[in-house]
Amino acid sequence: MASLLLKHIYKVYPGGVRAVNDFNLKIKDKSFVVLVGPSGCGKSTTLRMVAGLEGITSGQLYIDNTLVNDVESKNRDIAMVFQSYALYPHMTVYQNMGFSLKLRHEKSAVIKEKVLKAAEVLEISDLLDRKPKELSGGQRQRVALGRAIVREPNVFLLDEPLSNLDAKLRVQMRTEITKLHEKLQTTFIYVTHDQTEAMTMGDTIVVMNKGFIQQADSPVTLFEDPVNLFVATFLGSPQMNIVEGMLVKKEGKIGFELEMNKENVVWFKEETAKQIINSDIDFDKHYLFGVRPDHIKISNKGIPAHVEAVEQLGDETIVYTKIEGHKNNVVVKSPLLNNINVNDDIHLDISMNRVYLFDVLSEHSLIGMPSFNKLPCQLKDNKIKVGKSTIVMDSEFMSHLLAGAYEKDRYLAIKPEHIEFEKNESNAPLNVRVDFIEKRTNYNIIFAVVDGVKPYLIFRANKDRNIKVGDELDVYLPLEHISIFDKHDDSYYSREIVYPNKAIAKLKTRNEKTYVSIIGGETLVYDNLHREDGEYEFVLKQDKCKPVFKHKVAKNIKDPLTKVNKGEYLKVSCYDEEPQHKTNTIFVKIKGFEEYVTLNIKNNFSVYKMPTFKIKVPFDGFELKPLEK
Amino acid sequence: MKKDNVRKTDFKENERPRTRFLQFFDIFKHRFVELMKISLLQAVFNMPLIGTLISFYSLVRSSSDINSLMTVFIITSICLLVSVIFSIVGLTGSFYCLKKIAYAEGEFASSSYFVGLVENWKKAVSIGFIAGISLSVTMIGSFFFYYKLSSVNAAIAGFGIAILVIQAMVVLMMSYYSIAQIVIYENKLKFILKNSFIFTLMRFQFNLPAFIIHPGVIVVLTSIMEITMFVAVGLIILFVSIGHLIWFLNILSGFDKFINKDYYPDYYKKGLYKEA
Repeated sequence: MASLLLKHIYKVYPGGVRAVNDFNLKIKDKSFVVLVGPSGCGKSTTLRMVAGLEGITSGQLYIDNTLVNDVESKNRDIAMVFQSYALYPHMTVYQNMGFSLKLRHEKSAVIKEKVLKAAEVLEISDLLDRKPKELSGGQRQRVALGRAIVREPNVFLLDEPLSNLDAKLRVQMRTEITKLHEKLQTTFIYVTHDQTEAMTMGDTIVVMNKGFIQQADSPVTLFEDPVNLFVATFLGSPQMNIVEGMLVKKEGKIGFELEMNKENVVWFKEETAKQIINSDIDFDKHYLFGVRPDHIKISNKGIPAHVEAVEQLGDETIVYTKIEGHKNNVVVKSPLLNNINVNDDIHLDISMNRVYLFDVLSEHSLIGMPSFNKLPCQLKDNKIKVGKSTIVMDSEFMSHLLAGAYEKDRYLAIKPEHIEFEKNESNAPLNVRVDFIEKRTNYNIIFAVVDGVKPYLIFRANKDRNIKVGDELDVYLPLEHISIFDKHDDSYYSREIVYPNKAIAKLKTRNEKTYVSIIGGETLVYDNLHREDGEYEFVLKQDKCKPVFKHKVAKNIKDPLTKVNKGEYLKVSCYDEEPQHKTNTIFVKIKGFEEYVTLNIKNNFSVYKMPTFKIKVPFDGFELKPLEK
Repeated sequence: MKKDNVRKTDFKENERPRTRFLQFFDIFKHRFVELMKISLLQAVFNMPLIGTLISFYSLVRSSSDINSLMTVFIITSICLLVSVIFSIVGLTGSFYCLKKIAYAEGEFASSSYFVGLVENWKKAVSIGFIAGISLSVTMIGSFFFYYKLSSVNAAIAGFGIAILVIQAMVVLMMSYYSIAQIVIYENKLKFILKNSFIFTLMRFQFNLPAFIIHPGVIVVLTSIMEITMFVAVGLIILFVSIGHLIWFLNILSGFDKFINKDYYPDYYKKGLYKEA
């Protein structure tokens, strides 16, 4: 039994291919976590990093509060079950299951006891003398599971264990694995690309895409409140209907023109309209409207549609319809319908209680629960001003802020699930007023107003928490979960400590040239800087330096070459980076600097493509301060 | 990489052999490597016996008169006593492994072999001693009857040799039953011997064919000529476990019928398909 903590885990393969990006997840003891996503999304890589079969490029992996980044796979007390079973063909089931224990030089009586016990759990006691070739796929997978069980690991890792099985067996084994988790009461991490498997098995599902966690939550929450278009369309069968269109305002109501057709307008309910108005949504832009097939009814009123296909599944009917201007089908799932035929003209009645709106570019959900609350803020000294409220930053928080954090147009970002109701040492209070509440299966979503700030602060509250519309209450924002963003979603809060890029430099001006010699490092040469000769504190600015490298090496990187005069660059060696949307924060080592140097560069450059290179330091790329005596 | 064919259907209980006779073929097909391993392990314990046989042959050929031949027979019978004890002790390991295989417990053959030895060697030494004495007596007795008495009274000599051979056969068969009992049940030595004697006689019609296959074939090959003796030695080293398997499954079928069904239902037809 073990809990796991994955903090800012990155996996970058040689050549700069990023398999996993900033993976943050806390896995509770005895939980069943499913990593789900399309092929190549990084789920298996993450699992292999947990197993110790892949190195972690950066970040920390804790198992039971112990940092295990450098702990060998065999010492992590983890057992892994592979898709291909990986059984030894020349050994019997008993021998396969007991082999790991034999390698550990366990006594044969102990091996026997453990193997028989595991075999009993998996109901394969009658197969112990058989060899893998005599067994079916399902039986082989049970043996593979048994081999993991006998080791009595703290964590079970299952990498698409059911993919090789046929559909019927998959369903059966799915239940078996869930039962096994109940019996063993151990932490399970399960990787699959099958959303049905994920939804039915896990108590926490982590949806991944392109190496990023899209959303991590319970199956019901992911289904009810997807934070972006990917999660919304990935989960659910048939998948969510997505129709492009525009927002319209009419007589205080807000509606959505499906495919910009003025005839096909659906009107949002009052609360949703309030949220849209409050969140500065641009009415001239296109958006994506989402509705699940089970939230559309075939009726006499609503959006006109034409039936293209009908699937009778026995207990329910799936109707594929076409609405004017929309190239894909709008799918309707309803209890058994016998009176609908192909080529019928019908109307679609959309239940507006459960609809979704996504941004076309960012694909973020714009109504309901957001992935992040983004409240405009202004940082000054050690305070974050949010509307009329002030949050006091501690020194730990401030040491992670990048240079641009204190500028205008910054946003305080916090995930809804991180907002707390109880005060403690590491969170900051924020006074809010509850404007409306939406009910969900597991919790209520609270839409609250922060005085002087426009978007709602949205958070979850357990159903037993007595919160009513109009209540004024203090919620608490844990500083460790707060980020400072700009409007492009670039973060100004680094996961690494941001040191002040300081070194000591000696200045000497000769023949109209100023030589800036970094003590213990290299010398920069500029046209006369008109400063007195002597020693100065040399502070490199985060945003002014540019990487410089030979075009041959980085031919796929746009705009890489910057002509530099001799003496205007420093050699750097990188050890980490934090890619953002528009920028890439890199952490580099430069000779003469006490700590690592933090630089913000364009995000078309990755340190993993080139671990050592040069940076151009323009004459305005640093500050010289007189040394304090 | 070789493509691994996966069965489409689950392996079911009813695919197991239904009798011990069919189980022989099932084990032969699926656990042949384990059988070879057991043979090689047993060969270690059969080395004194093999050494005794080879030296007996060479000594017999070099003996010029009856007195020296008698010395050879006496020395060989003493060596036989010791080497049979070793072989019988080794047999406990073999039977222990075969028990695991026949009872479908699927454990590691090599480690099971030594577990079997450690658990049962004391009783096996006693049984080996009895079998060794029996064979030694047979050897010396046969020499006496053949060389000393046959010229005087051929009928009595022949009868004497026959009695000696039959007692040796019975004692050897009893040894197999005894070792099988030792590795399966907890029992006192005297009851083990008593049961073995009863089973040997009661199932003689099954025991005799088994005895003809093993060790009959080996004894015959050993007796014909030198080259066949080496063939017999090869068979002992590589395939002795197949003979042991035949014996063990024969014994198990007897135990199933007369002991397990009523007294040890857990062992009854264990490893076979049991119809409800």
